[in-house]
Amino acid sequence: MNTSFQNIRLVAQREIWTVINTKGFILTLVLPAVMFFLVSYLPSIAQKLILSAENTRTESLEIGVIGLEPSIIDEWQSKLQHRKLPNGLPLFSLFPVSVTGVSKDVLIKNAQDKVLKKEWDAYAVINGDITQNGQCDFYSMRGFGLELPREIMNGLTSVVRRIRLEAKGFDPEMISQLSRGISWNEYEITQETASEEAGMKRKADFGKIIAPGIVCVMMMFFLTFTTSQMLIRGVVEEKTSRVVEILVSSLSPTEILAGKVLGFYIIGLIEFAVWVGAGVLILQSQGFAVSEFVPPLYFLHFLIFLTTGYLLYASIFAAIGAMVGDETESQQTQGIITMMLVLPLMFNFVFVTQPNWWLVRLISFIPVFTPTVMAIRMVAAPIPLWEIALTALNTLFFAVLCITIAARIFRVGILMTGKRPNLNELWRWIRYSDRSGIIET
Amino acid sequence: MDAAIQIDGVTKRFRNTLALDRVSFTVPRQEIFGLLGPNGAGKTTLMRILIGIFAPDEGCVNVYGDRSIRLKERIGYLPEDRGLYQKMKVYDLLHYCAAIKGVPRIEIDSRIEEGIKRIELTGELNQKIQELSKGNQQRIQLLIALLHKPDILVLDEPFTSLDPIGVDRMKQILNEEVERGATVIISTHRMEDAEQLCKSLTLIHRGRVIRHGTLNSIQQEEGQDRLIVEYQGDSKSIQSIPGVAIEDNQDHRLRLRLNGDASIPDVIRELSTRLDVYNIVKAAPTLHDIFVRLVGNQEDPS
Repeated sequence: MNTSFQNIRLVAQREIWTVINTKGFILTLVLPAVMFFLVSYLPSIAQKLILSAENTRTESLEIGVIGLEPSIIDEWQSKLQHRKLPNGLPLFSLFPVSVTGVSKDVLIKNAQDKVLKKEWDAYAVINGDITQNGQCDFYSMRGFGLELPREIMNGLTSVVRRIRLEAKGFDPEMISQLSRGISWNEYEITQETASEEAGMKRKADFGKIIAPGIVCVMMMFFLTFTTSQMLIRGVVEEKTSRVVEILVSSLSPTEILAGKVLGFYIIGLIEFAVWVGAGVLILQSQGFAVSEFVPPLYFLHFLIFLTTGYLLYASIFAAIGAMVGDETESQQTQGIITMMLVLPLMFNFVFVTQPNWWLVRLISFIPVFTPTVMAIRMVAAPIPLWEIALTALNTLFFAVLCITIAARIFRVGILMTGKRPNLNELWRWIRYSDRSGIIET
Repeated sequence: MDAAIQIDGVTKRFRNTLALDRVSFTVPRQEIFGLLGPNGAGKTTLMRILIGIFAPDEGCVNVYGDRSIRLKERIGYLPEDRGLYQKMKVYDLLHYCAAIKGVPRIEIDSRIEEGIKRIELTGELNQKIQELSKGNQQRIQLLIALLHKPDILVLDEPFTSLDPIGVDRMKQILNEEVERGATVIISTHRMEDAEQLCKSLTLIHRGRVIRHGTLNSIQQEEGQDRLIVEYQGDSKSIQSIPGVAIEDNQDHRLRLRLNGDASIPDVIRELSTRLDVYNIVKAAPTLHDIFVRLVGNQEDPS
């Protein structure tokens, strides 16, 4: 069979052009970037908003304290003194509430009324001896501020801690001085950097080692998932609308499928580049060292597995599209196959701690697992270049094999809508095109 | 006869159905060839084998006596189902189809422009296919088949969805293509179209060739002549003439079928004794007649 790259390119171009001209595509490009932007910036934006809300305040927050000695309240107030309004007044104003001859219950009832009438902002009730086993109940209305009570509590805690330490005859200053931690640094020695002190990299913990691997695998997953859906939809649409008759009268099934897979690979790369680009820009702008988090060489190797893995999965999906009668039929199978991509993540502890164990190396050669397993192994330890090349080539080989099989299924299954073929029929279809020699030369 | 296509013992099965059973015939060069038959006769399957979508289980197809040519570039195909990307724009679709058929890049635009005029498309090139009428979509289909100036045109029910003006235009184009040097194969249910266009044809039924040859030879083979008689009087009186059957009788115009034994002068003499005859014309059996007789009334030819 003659397969012309020119024809593959034409099919790929049409797919790319059709997809990037849709509004949905713009959304897939922009939405993840917008989401990432929001997730990264929202907390700091929220912080700023809260601060600006505080800054417009001109009066202190009035907080009545019931059941605590005035001297402790004074010290508590002094611990909160660093929080000030723009006009110089303290943010929190604590004041003791006690009236001789009036019971605590009445005071609490009274305080509650004051808060409801907005004369006070909140009140605190101390039960028992706060320096022993006592407790503090804090009452406020909604809108007081979610973070503020914690600040108020911290103030009281440090007062109580001082009192307790002094009661036992300790100097609080000295205690905090003596109980501070030590300074501990971990370094990783590599062949290249052993001689130069500056080149030594700081070794991160397990979570940090595996994070770039997982981020990359997840991106691969989303990419494969979204584009493979478009791929299957395209193949099924051509089958049901019979456009395929015109295509097959002009192109070989291999050209059609290879063109589609290539087209969606390029669409995927565009999406990937936009996501990664936006991610890097956002992270860099926040002072996050991206190249330290994902080393460029690792990223390069990852791209190899992204490509070969993507081609393999897309080829499998093309075969599914060729087999099924309509889109809904394909969804279940599609789900199961996409799961294969993330399945190795469940065992990532093994891959990270034993990256060069023979079993792990063996699993790296199973094409459907290669991309994920290698993406994780490569972050955990240096993997010999030959092994990277061999696993990548192996995956590529299976991708080409898969496309060839898919083309044969496509050739026969293309005009058969309705019943899904059973395994016997599939096998016949795959062998079938061997005998057709009249047209293809 | 100089054959464009030679089909030799082609058999095709789908699961348990025998779609084509040892089909053999030749398609002469540079003429319009009709592939006729009732629904399910195997016409579309045969056409799909011709263009290489299916491979036959047995037998082979020779094009220009050569099995080793890259056939796809020499064939233009119009499928029965309107197979178009509905969301693509007219121009983009035409450009894509021309490119995959191997039309040189610099020629594509001029061919599209010329083709659009030729098919008399009413509508904009930047319209989406789905915005076009069915008739215009069919015109686009034809244009796609023509863009690369193929040697062989395979058209499956080309007149579907076209209005009479569209049908006439398409017939004109097909004749022009033959003049250019192309061989045109059409399948159709419309017998009068086939009669008008095709020089030779093949009638298939239940996957088998039941008649093949030029239109004239098939008509002669069928043997039975017809007489068209314009008359005044009571047509019941002629029912007893031996060897004559009334096929049609409307507005004082009779269409009579003569069986092999009846002699035309005898019949004319008999007719003039029983009716006031104004005009008699001898006619060959129409394709419709042949089709209905051969395929039988159990099948609906439309």
